[in-house]
Amino acid sequence: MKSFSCNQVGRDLWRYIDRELAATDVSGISAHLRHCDRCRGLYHERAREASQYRMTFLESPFGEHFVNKFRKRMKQEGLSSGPSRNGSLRGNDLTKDGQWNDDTSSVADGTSSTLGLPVDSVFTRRRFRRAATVAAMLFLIPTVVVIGIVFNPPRKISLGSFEAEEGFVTKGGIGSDGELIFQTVADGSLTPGCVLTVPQGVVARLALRSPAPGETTAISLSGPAELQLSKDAGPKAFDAVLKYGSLEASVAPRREGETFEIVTANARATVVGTRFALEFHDGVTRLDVWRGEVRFQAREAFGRAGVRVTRDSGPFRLSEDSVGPEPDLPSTSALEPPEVEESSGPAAADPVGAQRGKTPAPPSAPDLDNPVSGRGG
Amino acid sequence: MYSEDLEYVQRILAGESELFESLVRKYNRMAGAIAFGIVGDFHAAEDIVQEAFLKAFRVLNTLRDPDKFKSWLAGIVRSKSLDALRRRPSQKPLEISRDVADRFPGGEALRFSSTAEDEHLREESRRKVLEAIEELPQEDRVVVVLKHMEGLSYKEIAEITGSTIGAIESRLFRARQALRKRLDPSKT
Repeated sequence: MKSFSCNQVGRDLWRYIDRELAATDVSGISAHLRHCDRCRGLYHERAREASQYRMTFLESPFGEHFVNKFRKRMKQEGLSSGPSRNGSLRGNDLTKDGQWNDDTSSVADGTSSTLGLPVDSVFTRRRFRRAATVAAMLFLIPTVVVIGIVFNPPRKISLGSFEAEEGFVTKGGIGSDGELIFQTVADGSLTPGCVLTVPQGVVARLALRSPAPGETTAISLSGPAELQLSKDAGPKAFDAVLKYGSLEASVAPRREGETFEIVTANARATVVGTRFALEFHDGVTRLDVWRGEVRFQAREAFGRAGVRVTRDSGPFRLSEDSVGPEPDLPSTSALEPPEVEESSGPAAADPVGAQRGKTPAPPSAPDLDNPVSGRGG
Repeated sequence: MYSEDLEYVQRILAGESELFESLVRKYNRMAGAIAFGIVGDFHAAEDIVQEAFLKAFRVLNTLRDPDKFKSWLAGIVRSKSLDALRRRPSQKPLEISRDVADRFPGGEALRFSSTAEDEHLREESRRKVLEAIEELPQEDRVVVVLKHMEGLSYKEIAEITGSTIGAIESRLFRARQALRKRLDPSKT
């Protein structure tokens, strides 16, 4: 292994944190940091800085929220993006050859619409339908809100709980007044939409309620990592985004219509009932299945069918230009902490580790082979 | 080599306009980071990115190399952001509104937050970070935002900004030093 001096580490520290170094250099610096208190202190300082900057942008107006807004804007602009039957875009969209296809003008020029009805009749019907919809909404919305408040006061649904080992995690969630609240806690409950940020060297154990009573789904999130639960997540349809870092999951079996999905920036892992590990770093998602079967596909899947990954398949990786087996790396090694210590708690508390015959206890030193990633989802 | 963007663009132009949403989903954060990096205001950046995507959709057929959608879009966003900056009447174009600063938490004060005093500290901290980013020169700010908001690699940032990897690295280094100096002068 390449050895590094303090000067070399100081020079390459940001590249190390930004994951811009070759694997051999990462190993060399990790080894140096394990035994050099001074450089490790500097590393923690820089890693905290990176985390602070990233947190500043955590709730930017971009992401899925923006996509929804943009969809509405497209509709407002008459650029509805519904499926096209005749090879041209809808409404005011561009046609195949790049010319504007303005439905309004074509209707105005002719005497009948595409349905063969008189233009005036079509417009009158549309106007009437719109007015009826608005009137119905004006009546229905307040009624539904009042009934909802009276009979079903707002309450937070708990999806389960989490516990941090050897440290604290930052939990972000929407408070009762709609403000984003961040708390640094050792344990707590998991609610839809919450974000768990796990720092370096800490492992968060998540216990999720499953649809069937008595069954629990366990997720082990190794820092540095960040997991955001969907706002619509529930015991029967659970989905979350692994923004960066790695996790291991032991998922209670799902029945017809019950889903469990974890997505990264470029991939989607759909669980049938299994144990698996998912990791997202530097634009590459890596999946390793130990039991059962996981459907693995590009997040925006077309042109590439999803693959079914089982224990026998070995680890799979998905990057921008490929999806397939990863023959070069030993199974699961990248997900394990560099130095595994003796078990510090009952095996039952860690179903994932216990079933694998290992206890993924948090490393006493930070997980330096997995330095802070700036990559978000 | 398989290119997702190439396929998206070809299929959108062939009539599957609904696929444009996938491109929006894929690139809105990157576009947001560029726009915010230039104008320093999330509200304005959101509007700019909406306009940029609308323009991209409307003139998609003029894109010569569909495989280069990402950098083409980045160019549209950059151009719209600079237009927005030029149109601003304010002498200090990159002022971050209190409303925006309030929405974006950050900083050490986040770690222990339960009392009103902690809440105040947290607010101060995130405001400080945003103000410090605002103070950076525009080129440095764009790089910092692309790195920390979008988590892009040096190579990706270089492609988007039309710069070299070495230049990106030195801008990031300089920007982080400036931020550290401003946020915690005792450590510099």
